Amino acid sequence: MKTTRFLSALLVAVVILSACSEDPPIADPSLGNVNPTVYVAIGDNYTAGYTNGALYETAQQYSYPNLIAMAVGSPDFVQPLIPDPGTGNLMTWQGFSASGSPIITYGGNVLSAPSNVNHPAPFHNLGLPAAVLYDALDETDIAERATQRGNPFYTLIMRNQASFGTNLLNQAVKLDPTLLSFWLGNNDVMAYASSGGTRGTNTGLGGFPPGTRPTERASFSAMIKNCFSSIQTVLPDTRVLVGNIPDPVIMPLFTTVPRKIQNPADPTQLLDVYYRTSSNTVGTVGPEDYILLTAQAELGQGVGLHPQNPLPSQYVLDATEVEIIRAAVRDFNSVLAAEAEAYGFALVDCNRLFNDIHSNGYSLAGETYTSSYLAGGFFGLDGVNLTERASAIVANEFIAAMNGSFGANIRQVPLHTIPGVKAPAGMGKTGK
Amino acid sequence: MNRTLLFSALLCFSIALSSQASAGGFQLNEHGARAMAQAGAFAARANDGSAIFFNPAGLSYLRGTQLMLGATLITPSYTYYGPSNLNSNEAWEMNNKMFYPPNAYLTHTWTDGVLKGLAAGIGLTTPYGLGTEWDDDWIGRAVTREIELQTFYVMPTVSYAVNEWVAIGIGANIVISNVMLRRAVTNFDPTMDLELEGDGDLAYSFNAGIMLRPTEDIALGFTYRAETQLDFEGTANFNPPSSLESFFPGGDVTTGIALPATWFAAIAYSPMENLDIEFDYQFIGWSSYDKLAIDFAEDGENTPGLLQNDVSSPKDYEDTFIARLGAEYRLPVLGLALRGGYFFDNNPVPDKSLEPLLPDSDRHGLNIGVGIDILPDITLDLAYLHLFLMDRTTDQTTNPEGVHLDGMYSGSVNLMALNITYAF
Repeated sequence: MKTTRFLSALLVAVVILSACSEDPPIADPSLGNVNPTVYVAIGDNYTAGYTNGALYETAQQYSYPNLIAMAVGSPDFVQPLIPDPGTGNLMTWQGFSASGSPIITYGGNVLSAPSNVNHPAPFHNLGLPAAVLYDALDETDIAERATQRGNPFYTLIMRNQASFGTNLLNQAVKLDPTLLSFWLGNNDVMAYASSGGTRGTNTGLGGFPPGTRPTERASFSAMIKNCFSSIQTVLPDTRVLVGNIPDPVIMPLFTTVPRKIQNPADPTQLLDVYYRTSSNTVGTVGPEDYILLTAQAELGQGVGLHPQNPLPSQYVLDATEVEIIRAAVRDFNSVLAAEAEAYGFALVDCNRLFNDIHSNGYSLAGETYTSSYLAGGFFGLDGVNLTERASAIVANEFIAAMNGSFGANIRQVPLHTIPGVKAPAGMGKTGK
Repeated sequence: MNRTLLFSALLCFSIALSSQASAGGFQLNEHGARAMAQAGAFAARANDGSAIFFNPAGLSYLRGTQLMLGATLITPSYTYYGPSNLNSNEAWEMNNKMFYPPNAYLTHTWTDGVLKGLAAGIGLTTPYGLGTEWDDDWIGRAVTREIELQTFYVMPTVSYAVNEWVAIGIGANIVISNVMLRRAVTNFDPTMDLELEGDGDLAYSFNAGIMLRPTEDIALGFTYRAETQLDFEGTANFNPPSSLESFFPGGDVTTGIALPATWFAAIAYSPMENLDIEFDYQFIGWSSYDKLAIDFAEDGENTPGLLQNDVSSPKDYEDTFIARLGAEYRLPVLGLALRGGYFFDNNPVPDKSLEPLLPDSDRHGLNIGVGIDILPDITLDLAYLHLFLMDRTTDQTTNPEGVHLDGMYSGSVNLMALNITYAF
């Protein structure tokens, strides 16, 4: 009978349709050639989880190496956790002024030791705020360096040089890592950039007076070769990730303050900003120059609004300085790419990641991160260091490199589990 | 009896307007158990009160006064696997929700006298609706936590049978609607919960149909429903921390949706006295849904200092179709009818617009049902529909218009319908 045939056709259809399901597009997780037994991270402020002008526990928990350690399942990844408000001068976002610009306050200089300062081995997170590449190799006394450079983190993080070694590389090797990340060299250009081109890390090899420019290519290249060959000799079986150097000039430290300032007496009028150039003349900030975020206090007091009262040189990157910075970044990254390849290390293209965030933003699940100050959600209040979510985005770039180069299939960090920019504590209604 | 039933039906409407889209997009085509059991292939016959929805011309071929009341119980289940953007396959299940959009039809057909061939009726249906809800802390919380769109069509309808083989019908659609959507704003910690609620302005539309019976055993139907523009006015609340209240004041918002036009072309054939087989082709003009724009009365554009801004997300849905095949066999005894059907529903959502708000994909629908004359003047119709949603994978990482929540969506929907028809 037709009805029976129709019903049996239906039954057949049910069976066929039930079989029409796919497998989800991502294969099961695997570590491939990654051995997570001991993971060590060598680096600087980015690696330490330093942000908002300080190194403090709440942010350190979300340092990209700690997130990587969790993603690969590396047990006992030890960080030098400094209880809040940490060491440094913690910046806090307090809200917006009536004109809509963010109000940032400083907690004041604090120096505290990590709560685990007596940990009987080097820390797995060897992120040393303000470290330069030379800190991977330097054999001089740690305490002396701390004093010389006015950087307390040497003694807080590197401790016990007699047993652990005087430099980041020695301390890392001491832990016999199976997985090593190396993202160092940012401050070899950032020191110059963040001083408005007034200070530097060069040794004098290139003919410029020492300490006036970014580290020279020749010095950078020699140090990288030295580091990489040591790593390969001492740790032949260790998988190594190498981060390259982002362009500082895309960061809010340089891109936030407009090149012309509203006249307080007449907001429709935009005023030129005057600054002292590196050749000690007075110049006007032009379309290729950048005023540093740190100049805001001076500008607020009227400095820079008259040729006879120019902004000091440390507050402005002029076009020449910008070109010096970009040339250094290009040099460093070509060295890093060539040497990483030569030594079989996986290159993590942080430069591309940061540029991409600057040009297009990074979007995931309805959220977009950009390089703009505060609202962008990527750079912290100091305009250079990373927010917690940015650290997760960086961790994911490292994980992607492991998946690409080490035959692994590691899950990336779910960003929604990482806190956003801390909203101001309740100030009550401020009115519109 | 009829008064009590009608009253309880209206009460039912007021508490249970929710509906979950069970056709592609946020359309709902299940408005009567008899039609649903036959895969909605019903526009050529439309031989019960739901003719008001399926083909108003069908009213002319009913008899006397009929009251038909019912509801469709809808239980969707969806799982999202991802995000593949984070190299993840994690399974995220949509919260289980149950919807029971009701339907009600009161019709009268004059079978003799000067009004012979004329019929009139009023119907209440919910042809568009959407309801999805995910955990507040799920990975896609900034895309959606919850959405609910409800429409409620009041449809006064008339039809006229020109002769034994041609009838025409037309209905006015008076549309009551409301919308609620909620998502996280995660830039700051603590996160904010943006909640929008709005009522639609009363909207008007119409549907019309024609039914032809060229021979004893063939019936043809064509029916059309016009596009309906819904304009919502409502309020937004970001639920911000107190320090950000003055920057996210929320306040008045407006938004709108164009509900698509749709038409059916249908043919039914009776190979034997007790058997009908029908094929319907349904077109849905989903390209009407090109964007979802939310406009704040006060935003950063017109009120400097505010951080809330208008949103416009492109949707660019595509016109689409549903192919329906259904049959009814009436047992010569027991007053029992057996029904079954299959339809294929081609989904209107382009890859870039696929999102957990409405995780749509092509669907296969399998339907069965029965009709029983439980008393001489009371018929009970029951139907069951299982929707197989084809698994759907998206990779829109490089599309600037995408929501960047890639991965795989998988799901199925069960629908059960019950109607009681009382012939006076």
